[in-house]
Amino acid sequence: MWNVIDEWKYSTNQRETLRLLGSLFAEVKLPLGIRYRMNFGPDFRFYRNGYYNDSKSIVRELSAANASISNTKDFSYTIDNLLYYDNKFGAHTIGATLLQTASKWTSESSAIAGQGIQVPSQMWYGLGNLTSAQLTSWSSGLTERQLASYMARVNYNYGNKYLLTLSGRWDGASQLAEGKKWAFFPSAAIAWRLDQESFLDNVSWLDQLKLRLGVGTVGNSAVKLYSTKGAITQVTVPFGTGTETGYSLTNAVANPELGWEKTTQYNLAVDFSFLKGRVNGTIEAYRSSTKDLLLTVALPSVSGFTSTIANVGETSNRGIELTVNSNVIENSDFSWSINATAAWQRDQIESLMNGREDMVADTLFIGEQIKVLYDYERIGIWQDTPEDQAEMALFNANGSQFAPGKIKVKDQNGDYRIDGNYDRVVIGNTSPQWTMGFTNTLSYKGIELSAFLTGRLKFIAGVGEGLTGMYGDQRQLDYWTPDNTGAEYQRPFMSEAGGDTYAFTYYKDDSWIKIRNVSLAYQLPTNLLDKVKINSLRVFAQIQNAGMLWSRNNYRDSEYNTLYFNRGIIPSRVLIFQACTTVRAFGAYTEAILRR
Amino acid sequence: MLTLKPSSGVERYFIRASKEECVNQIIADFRTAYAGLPDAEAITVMNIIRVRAQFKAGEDRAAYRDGGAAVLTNSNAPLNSAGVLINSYCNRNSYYESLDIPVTTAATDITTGITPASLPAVDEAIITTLGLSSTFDRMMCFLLNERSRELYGELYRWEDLARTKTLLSRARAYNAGSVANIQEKHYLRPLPQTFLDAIYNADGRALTADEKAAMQNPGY
Repeated sequence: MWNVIDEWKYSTNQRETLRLLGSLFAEVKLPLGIRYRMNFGPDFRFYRNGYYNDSKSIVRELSAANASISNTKDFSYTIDNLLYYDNKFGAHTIGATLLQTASKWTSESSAIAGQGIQVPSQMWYGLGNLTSAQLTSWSSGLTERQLASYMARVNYNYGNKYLLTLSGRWDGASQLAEGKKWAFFPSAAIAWRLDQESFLDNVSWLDQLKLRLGVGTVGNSAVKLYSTKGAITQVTVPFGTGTETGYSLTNAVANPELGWEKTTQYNLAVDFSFLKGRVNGTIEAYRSSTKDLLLTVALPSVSGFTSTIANVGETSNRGIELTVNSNVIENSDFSWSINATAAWQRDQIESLMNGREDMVADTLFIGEQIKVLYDYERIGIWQDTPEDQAEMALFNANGSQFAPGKIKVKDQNGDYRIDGNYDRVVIGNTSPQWTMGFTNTLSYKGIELSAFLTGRLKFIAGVGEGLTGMYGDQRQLDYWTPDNTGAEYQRPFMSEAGGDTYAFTYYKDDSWIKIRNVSLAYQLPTNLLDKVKINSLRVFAQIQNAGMLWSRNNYRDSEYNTLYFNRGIIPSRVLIFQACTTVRAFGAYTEAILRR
Repeated sequence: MLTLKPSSGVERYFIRASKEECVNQIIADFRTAYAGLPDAEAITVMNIIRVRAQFKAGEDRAAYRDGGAAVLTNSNAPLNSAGVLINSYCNRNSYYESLDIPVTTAATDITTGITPASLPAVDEAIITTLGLSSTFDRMMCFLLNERSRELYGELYRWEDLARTKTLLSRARAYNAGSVANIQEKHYLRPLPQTFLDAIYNADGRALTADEKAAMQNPGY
């Protein structure tokens, strides 16, 4: 027999990551005040996941032991070629930068799994001892992506008070469609250093005050790789007396017109620093408009496809962000710092695929926020009263199955027929209007204790349908009975779990504030580490997802939209070896991190 | 296609075709050719199918295990700790026990003596229950019964009954659970709301609620 106490002996899931990052550069001074610099940044990552489940483990329940190993090797690099020009004429300072950059990302993977492992200690290392019939899956793959860019930037600065930056960049992304890969993104910014002005000279508590105004366009090309190519998948079809291998298109049709999503943003900001740097921060207001959004669009399934990725419509967004950092106490041994952020945002859809036409299948509606819920509007529970019975009879004559104790939804067009065409409405937005973060860090010598609080406010979510009788472990529900007519949830009834259309209409405000992370760390003294040529050794323990400080719906983890809390205490250590040499203008820097 | 004198040509066609093709062809041709097809010819054509279901002399009727053979060599079934497949495989069915008949290997004959006026007893019982009388209705009923025996469990039944407009009468006679609910509209299924929502007019305009309602099948 097996039991949970011994489970740790019988199932192993081991993940190992090795990452090597490098940063190399060379710089040459050319005539006329021009500098040339080349950067090279390789990034190598190797990930291995092995699992072994003994036949006595809970998953295998005495059937044959299984094991698998999968390897992923990612390699990416960026090469920058930069030309700088800096000069100063009296109070005028001019800087210009030209950049050519290319990056490539390659991911290679392979995996194999089998069952019938005879020697437990071999785990996933002895898959070669299995027969081909005992191998359950095998796969390998390659994905590649490239980005090429050219950029030009000019900085101008008058008397260190007035600053101007103009830039333009051309980006070409390999994953976009032929002829749509390249786009131009200009930007401009002006800033005014008020603290440099003579009229603020005698304000002694002010260290820095800067007003910024900027406008710029940025691009987004984050689509699934190869989605402009029309992938095919292998299918096995019965043919004649046996089976044959055929190829079929996937459910997502390729879009050979797919291009960049572009966002143009205006922002106005104030950077401040008071009391010798003890308090500093930024207030920023922005307004942006996004064109050609990259969205997955539903297609009528009779076309043979259920979706495609397309550049759709136009949206606008506006918001205010506030960041305040404060070093409340700063002594040689003890310090306490606070970092607080708060942001308010609101987005809106301006137009969609065919102009001002709603896209109901994708729940996109002109004038509404981008992420909304669209469904029947729950307005209560039917009661066993003569008035409700009379109403229900009218609905039930048109095919509804209402009864006392069941959910009552609003008949929007008043025809006593609950109908998907007429009676669904936009219930509310699911993206929070307010987000906030609050970090407190206390440190004493090498010991550091920090806690991170975060919150999201003003949004709705489907907060749990409360289907009685559907789940093995059901939270206690306030459900309707003839004696409890004011209940929140409907009465239990047969076939409720199987397809009651309205059981899922419990959409509510789902705001929350939680303690995301508490960490306690110890940094080993450098004089100790220097002897063993270790750059840095930090030992720490974290409590992840510690718990809710406050939430609207206390039975769920609203951040992850689950009915359970995934809490964890994670002890870790990070060991960094660094080799750093600087010879005149040439530099090399490598960093290796091994995590297990 | 079926000719009206189905002596040799028809037989050759059916021998080479799959069972679904045969039965579909019979239904299609039976409906169009009925007017000129002598009743006895229709029975002849049907018997080409029926004769395949007869037991031959010496045939062990409990030897047919539907799908059971697959389990014997199923590579997805779990293995025990000795690496042997775990299954409860049995290579016999319960034909004799279930039908409560003595074990016999005698040949059967289910084709002789069938005429449009005198169909097999099981089919006559169904015809009586459904209250059918015209030769066409009796023969269509026989045909649908035969099709259900041939294609049992292959998920063609709803479509067969819906397109021959026999769904309601059969469901009401034989499906006590659906009598209260089944209606004329069930000859068509509802178009999914997700489909109606994803449709656009030729000019790129989304369908209005009224247009969606008009596109939906009647009664839904």
